[in-house]
Amino acid sequence: MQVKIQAVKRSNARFCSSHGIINRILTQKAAVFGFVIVALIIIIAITASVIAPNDPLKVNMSMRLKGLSSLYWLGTDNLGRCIASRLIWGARMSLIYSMCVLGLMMAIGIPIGLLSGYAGGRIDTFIMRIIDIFLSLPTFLMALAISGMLEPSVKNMIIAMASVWWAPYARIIRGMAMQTKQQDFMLAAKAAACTHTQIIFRHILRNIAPPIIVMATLEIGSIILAIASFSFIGLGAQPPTPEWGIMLSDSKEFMQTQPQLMVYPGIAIIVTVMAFNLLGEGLKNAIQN
Amino acid sequence: MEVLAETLNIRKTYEKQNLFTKKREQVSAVNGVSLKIRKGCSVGLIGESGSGKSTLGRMMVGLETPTEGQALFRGQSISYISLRKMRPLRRNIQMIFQNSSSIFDTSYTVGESIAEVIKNSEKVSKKECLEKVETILEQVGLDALYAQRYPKELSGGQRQRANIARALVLHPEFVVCDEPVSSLDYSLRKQILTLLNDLRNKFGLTYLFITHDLNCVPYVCDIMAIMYAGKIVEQIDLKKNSMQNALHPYTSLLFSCIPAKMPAERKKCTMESIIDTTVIPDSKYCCRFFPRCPCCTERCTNEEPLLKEVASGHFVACHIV
Amino acid sequence: MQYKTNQGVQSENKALEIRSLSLDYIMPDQSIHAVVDLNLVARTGKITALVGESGSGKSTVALAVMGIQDKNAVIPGGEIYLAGTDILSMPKKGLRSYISNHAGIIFQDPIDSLNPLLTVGEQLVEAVLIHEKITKKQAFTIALNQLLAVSLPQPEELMKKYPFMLSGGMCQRVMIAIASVFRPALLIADEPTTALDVTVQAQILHQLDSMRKREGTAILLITHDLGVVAEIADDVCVMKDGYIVESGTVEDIFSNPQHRYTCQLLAAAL
Repeated sequence: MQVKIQAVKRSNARFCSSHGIINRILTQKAAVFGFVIVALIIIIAITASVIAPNDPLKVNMSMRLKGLSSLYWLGTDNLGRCIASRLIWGARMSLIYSMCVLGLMMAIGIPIGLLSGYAGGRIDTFIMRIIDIFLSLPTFLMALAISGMLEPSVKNMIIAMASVWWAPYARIIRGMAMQTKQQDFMLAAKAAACTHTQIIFRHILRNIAPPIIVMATLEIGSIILAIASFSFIGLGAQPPTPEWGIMLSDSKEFMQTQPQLMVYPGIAIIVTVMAFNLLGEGLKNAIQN
Repeated sequence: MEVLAETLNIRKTYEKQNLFTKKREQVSAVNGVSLKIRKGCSVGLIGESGSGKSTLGRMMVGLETPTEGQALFRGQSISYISLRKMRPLRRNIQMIFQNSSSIFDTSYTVGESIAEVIKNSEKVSKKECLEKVETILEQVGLDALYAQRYPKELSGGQRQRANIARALVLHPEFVVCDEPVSSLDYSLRKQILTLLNDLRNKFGLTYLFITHDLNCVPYVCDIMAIMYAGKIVEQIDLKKNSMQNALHPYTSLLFSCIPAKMPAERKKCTMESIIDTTVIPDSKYCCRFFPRCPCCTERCTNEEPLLKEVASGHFVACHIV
Repeated sequence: MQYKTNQGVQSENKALEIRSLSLDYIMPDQSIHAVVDLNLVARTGKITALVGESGSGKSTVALAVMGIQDKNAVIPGGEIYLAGTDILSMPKKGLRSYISNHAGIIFQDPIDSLNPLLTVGEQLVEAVLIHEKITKKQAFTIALNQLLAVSLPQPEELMKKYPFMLSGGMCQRVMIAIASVFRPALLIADEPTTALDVTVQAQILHQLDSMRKREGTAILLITHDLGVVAEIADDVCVMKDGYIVESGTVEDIFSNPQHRYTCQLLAAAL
């Protein structure tokens, strides 16, 4: 019992719950690995203008398809642009675009999901039927169609992706909101004179925030992948933007002779997507325990 | 004394749908209860699980909408109004919930949960709010430091104290206590009951005390009301009458089931006298207790008994009394 | 093969004897001593109450006797003689059937203890067939008699019902019927009435009382409610933080408590 009492005292000494979650993440090797890489990518993205050795857009035809050197760390592409610099700037672009898509998806999905789950009844039925329609469409093709109809540009790609992909998100949030709504503390919140708005934002949203963050982290990976795909087929970011999908697209003609041009952006995409997924899984395990 | 809270022939029926036949069934939880609670005169509401006592309690604090009838507070109906209109009344109508482990939002500290109640009803500065939280925590016997703890870091008894603190922080006039001690360890029950009684005297509270344990009643109640199958079958003013004077057969049954306090006091009761059936007759024109009643007569099966006054402050709904 | 037994002085009326049992829970960063050097005897035909607040380790004792303690529980020492044989020194093989032949257990939440997808009858018949190699028809008759023994009305009807169609008190009695199907020497009742109403509690207690009188079962009643103890127990062990702080007959404990904690518990009575 001594041990138990000491343990209780220890847990009382630090009563910060976020502290606990971070500790739990740190016990998972894969999650730590993911976290380090994500942090590294974010640092690279933020400091791209400082650490990139060259201007990613500067065309130098005399330096076409050169190998590794101290000036061009990873060599140059078919237009003599510095691959390393383009990769570094590409990280920034990928992150910015995916954050925009994610932000927009959440901005649509969270309010709709919360409203549907909290209100219930007819409102819920109506919203769910709309979501059903969205879910029955193949999302990637829909996004393709929308951005194809609009002029191909980054902005249109982001709009197209978010306007289709919010639906499954809203559905999950609705489920979580419904579950939270049935818990006993909802009654206590009403007894504490909370209004509906307060209940939704202070209690429901706060309680489902951790799983939403996990979902978002897991989602970023697939969004980055999708953005690269859109750019690859020419519906997303337009050349000469330093973007991983465009780099892949540009280099496909040299696949036989200069495979490294495809390998570098490919590795960048794989590592980033994997890192976000590992981090997301780690977060998931941490909040589930 | 003025009437603080009141129900007028209040009813609540739940609709249950059969999964396979899609037939809708009406299950009545509260079946026409008129109860007056006067200021300073706490009522103990006793009944078995399923008797509708918690539903009645929730309707009296406006957390549940009745199917018929209404609940009043100081003459104003609180049954069919929105949360926003309910807001100004909230500071005077509060509830202490049964299950303190699930009644706190786990993402907030105990202090934040209590402060929420204050902020929703009063315009106060952060400092005043903190002072109030610390004062009430100390009044319920918790250290002010517990304000920074999360609910899961508290023990069952401490959490129940925090639960009480949250309900009483605004010094409401009327508090519904829904089985406040039944989820607690035996050794803690008396502490919490004594605390509730102290706070009642200190703040001038009026309780509706819901419980299934007759032993709790003398600690906090002035009036004892026995509920069976959605109806009040007996009501005794404990200031004028003794609990032992209860007349309704159901009340006698409840009394006979209380375990002995000492081994020497064991009743050699034969439990065969208790006919075990939870079937409640459908008919509106009968005593709802008759299938279990040891002294049921023909009249009980075809006429519903009404509450009648048999002595000053003592009401019974039974034909044979 | 012979296993360790507690044959000797007055062993025949001890359905359960626990000698200096210790049990630790091993956690990743610490170990908790849930039970420390516990001695306890449950006599045939008597009700022994194990009293303590939540977290005192009383349920852990019950699980250890049934051999269903958690995976992270370690028993560093002690003996548990169930119907004369030390179950801790028995090999894993055959242990389960030995325990289930000699001891039954009922839990706090009767509705959760029954399988919601099977009828009461199916579960009872299954329990009978586990113990005896007989036909289904014979098992059915035994099951019916079991339900009658716990004075449930209309047992034929009841056999066809699902647990969710019954009240908590009826479910608890079905649990008693299942647990006592094989006339076990010991019945462990882990907070059998905590979740129930007073009227139902009285019925269940009466049921336990008549069972030990009729069958001579030893009952280990685990509870935090001293009222229940005063009502039906014969012997009492008071447990706190894994230790038994006081034990004796119910009269002694209630009229002449020795330990400070026992006095506190008695003073807390309503």
